Amino acid sequence: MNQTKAILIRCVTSLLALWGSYAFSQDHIEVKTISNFDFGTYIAAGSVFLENTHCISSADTQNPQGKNGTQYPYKISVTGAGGTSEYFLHLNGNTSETGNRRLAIGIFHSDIFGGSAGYHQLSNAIYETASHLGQYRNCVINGNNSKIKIEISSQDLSGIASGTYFGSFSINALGGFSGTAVDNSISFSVSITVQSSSEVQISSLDSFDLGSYSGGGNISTIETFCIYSSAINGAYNISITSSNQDASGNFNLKNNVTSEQINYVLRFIDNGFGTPDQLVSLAPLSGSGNTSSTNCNGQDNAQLSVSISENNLAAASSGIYSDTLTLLVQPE
Amino acid sequence: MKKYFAYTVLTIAALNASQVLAQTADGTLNATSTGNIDLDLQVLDSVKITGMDGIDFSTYGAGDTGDINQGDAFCVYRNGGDGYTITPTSTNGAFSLAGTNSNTDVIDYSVRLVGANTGAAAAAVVAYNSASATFNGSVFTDCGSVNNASIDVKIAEQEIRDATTDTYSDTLILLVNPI
Repeated sequence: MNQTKAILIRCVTSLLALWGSYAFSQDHIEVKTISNFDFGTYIAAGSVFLENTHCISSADTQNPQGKNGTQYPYKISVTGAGGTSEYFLHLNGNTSETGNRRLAIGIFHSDIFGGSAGYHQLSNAIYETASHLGQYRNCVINGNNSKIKIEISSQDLSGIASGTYFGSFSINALGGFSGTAVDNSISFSVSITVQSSSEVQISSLDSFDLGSYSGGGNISTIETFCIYSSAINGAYNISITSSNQDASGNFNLKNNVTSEQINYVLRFIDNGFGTPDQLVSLAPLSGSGNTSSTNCNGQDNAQLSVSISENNLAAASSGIYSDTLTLLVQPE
Repeated sequence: MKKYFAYTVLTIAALNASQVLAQTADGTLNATSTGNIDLDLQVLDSVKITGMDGIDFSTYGAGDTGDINQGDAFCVYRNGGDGYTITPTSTNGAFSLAGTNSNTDVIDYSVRLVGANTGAAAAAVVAYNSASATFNGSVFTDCGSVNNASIDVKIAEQEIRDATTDTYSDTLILLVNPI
């Protein structure tokens, strides 16, 4: 009888202890803020990487110090732009960019107290295979435990368009007392400015249809177009030439039947406002292009004007006259 | 008898040529970018005759003898300084001065044209409503203030002798045709 009572008392005591333990436990997982990864300006060849540390706690105690609790395993995933097995930064953060206007990066994770396993590469939105032992709340005892490394290979940087690449990524941590607690509240950004190979593009070009001339007055008309340049401040120079241009840089329309020519004046301005004011001749002209959109977001930012004097027109025999301008844009 | 006429001017511009635009092309995104812009202009025939004055033969009376002639120099612009002809007609329907006082007499005359500001009197006669010889116009619409064509109108003495006393007139129409 006494033995039975003693067993009963021990059972009740154990249950109370277990209840007490559970009642005062908290399913805790928390990712602390991590610094953004800013690679600055990339000019030299070679691969680059940056590392940052922060705290990931996975424990079972409400005690802020957490010294009397238990540490529990955690694992993380990082989610951002890219496919299953890759992460991308995009030129100007525009996720619609492709080809050499997006930059592949590698994201690696390591737990500082996790032994010699070191970094292992993460796959987009997929929890890492191995778990790590989480720290107590706020990592107050051992300090930061989680280390993330961003690596960009020289291969991926080779041939990439110049400009600033940007991406935003979120950390998802899984762990806690239950093993199912989640914290996905922390994000970090990765940015790098590439200067190695500036690119330019001229687009939205239209023909100068000067119409039919039957006498009376000058002809003057303007066409607008877009110049994109990934160089710093969008700097570019433009050379405008024609096979009918003479040695002094004067431009001419030519009658391909009779070879008769009509001289015209070409002027340029490097933004979409005002009247073209730079006389085009032999020397290249400088300008500042759109740095964020290869099509200038539909807003042309350069102009050419063609002017033909009445005297030059009156002196021309009847016929069709034409010319083809070649516009060569180079980053500065 | 007073004889005079004025002349009217017509110009012609041909408008039947077609125009074809060539290929304009954008550049590609690269370390350099090259685009092409085409320019096309069609110059049409254009002519313009200016600077005409009335031709006044004044009076012809008993004391006058012989044929009479008077001329006028004027300007013909032709784009490119190219060729043109002049087709003369008149409001009277013939090279004839008509009386102005219900008089049915007419005084016939002849017309000569030349592509210079003098010398028309020695040029060949141009038949009514027929093209003259081909001349070259000026590339300046005002001929640089120097006339480059002229007309001579000649009346034979007998035409005047046959006419009743009156004032006779006509208006010449000079149609300039680009060649």
